[in-house]
Amino acid sequence: MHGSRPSSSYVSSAIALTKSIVGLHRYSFVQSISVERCIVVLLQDLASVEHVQALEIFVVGTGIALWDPPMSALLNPTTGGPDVAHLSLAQRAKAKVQSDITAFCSELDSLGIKCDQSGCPSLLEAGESWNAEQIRAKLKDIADVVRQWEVVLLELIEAKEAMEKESETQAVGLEGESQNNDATAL
Amino acid sequence: MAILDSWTSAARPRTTRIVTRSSHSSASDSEPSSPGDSTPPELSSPSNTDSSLSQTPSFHLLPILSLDDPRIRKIWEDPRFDSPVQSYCGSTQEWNRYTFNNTVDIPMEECGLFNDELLNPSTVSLNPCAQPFVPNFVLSNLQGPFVVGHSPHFPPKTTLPPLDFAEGLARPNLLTIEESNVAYARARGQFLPPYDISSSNLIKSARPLDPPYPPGLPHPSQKSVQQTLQRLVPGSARETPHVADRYVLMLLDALKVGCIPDFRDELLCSIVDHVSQWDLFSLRELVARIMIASFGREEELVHPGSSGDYRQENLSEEDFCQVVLTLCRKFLARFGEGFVNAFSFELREAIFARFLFCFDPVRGSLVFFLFTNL
Repeated sequence: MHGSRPSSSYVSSAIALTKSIVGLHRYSFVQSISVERCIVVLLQDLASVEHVQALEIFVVGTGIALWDPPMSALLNPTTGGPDVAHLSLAQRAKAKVQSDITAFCSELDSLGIKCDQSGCPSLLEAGESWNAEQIRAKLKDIADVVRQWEVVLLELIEAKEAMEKESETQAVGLEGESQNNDATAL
Repeated sequence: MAILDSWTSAARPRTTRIVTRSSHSSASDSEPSSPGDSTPPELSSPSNTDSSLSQTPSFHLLPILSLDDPRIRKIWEDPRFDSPVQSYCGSTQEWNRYTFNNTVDIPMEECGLFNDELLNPSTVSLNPCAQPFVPNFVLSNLQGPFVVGHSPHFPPKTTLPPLDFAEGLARPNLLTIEESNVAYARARGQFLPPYDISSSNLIKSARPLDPPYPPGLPHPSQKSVQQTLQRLVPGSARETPHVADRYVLMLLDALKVGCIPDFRDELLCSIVDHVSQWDLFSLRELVARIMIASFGREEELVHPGSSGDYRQENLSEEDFCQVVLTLCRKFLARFGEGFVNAFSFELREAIFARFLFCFDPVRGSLVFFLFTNL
């Protein structure tokens, strides 16, 4: 039933569907967890060149927002295990970002190692197949992009943590000043 | 074999002679063939033909009447005999009344139950692939007009299958209808021909309903039910186009690359106004049309170019997102947040189902091509 080669319009529509999911994620119509599930589906088996392209569209298109841990996950005491239970929210966020990206990159590395020498075929009749080296290079590019975002994301979390600490000290200082003013008034 | 020949030779006459005990001969006149056998001896044994009866001196034999006899004519002048003979075969009581209480020569072939092949078994050739025999009165009952009141030939309404609302679409369960027919036939000791879903006997199956109106008068609600059932039949000629098919062109224009935002807004507002009553069914229709207009049909994978691909070529994800968000705003302004949530849920479901269909190595379809052809 499915033995015939899909039409080029169908393959292009599948790629367009991937781009549309990324666009809907940008408008928060689609949540990050749904995109993560789509990526998991692709990582199960990079069976074609179009699978690798779709993976690149997801990772590059969603950007840093995909790896930004939601507050609900940080507030959940079971997230990250007992080791991070005593940490602050910012420290939990950093730990989760690092663990997620490390797991994703290691998955890409393992896929590149498992890729046999025949490489990936293209679903398009006129499309070119990729050999193993091309696939590994593409997966390495994706992993490099994600690692760069990891650095940026950790810096953002640290900057936000610093701002929160500064605001806390300012609040404490204002509170101390108000208490002093009250004391002098009395 | 000799017994068979004697029986066939005895039964070969094309008229059966039925003797009654009601008028001149009483029940005590004729001794039953066995103590527990209530069947009259002249009917219980095939050896009780005219010759055997005439050779029995103690048996009070009534004069054999022909069809031209005035008494027979008087019987057949009964207006109930105006209808086809087959209808009397449907009721056992009616049949018994006209066979055991009178002496009548009834031509066997008129009953539709006997023919030359049955009377002469040597000519019968069994076909294992043949359709099961179905008496005419069974088919006439199923295909006949509506009957006022509760007829014993039709099942009560309680035996009708319930509608399947599992997918939000009110369509009858074909399997349940088939089972109800079989159960109905078994209860009556009859057999029905094999149910063919492709030719869709939905209407035939719905006929046993007892409509609360006299026959011949129009009944709009019943008529609409029939039309709906006919529309649900796949490939039916009476299948009318969906309402969603009328606004799909506007949807295609709204998805065009470089469509002016104000014009897109007007187009989508017209789509929302086009449907008189929005519900879950129409919402799913809209979602299905958005998916087809944006990404084509799934059948394109199996049969490329066969389904009339009218999706928007060179779809821009930004235009797609703008269409979706504009529709959300329209629905939010008109129907509230709950309706927007339903629309978002349905669209997300459709999008991810399509994604799995395209890319899932387990359940998807593209990978099957890889495993079989490459």
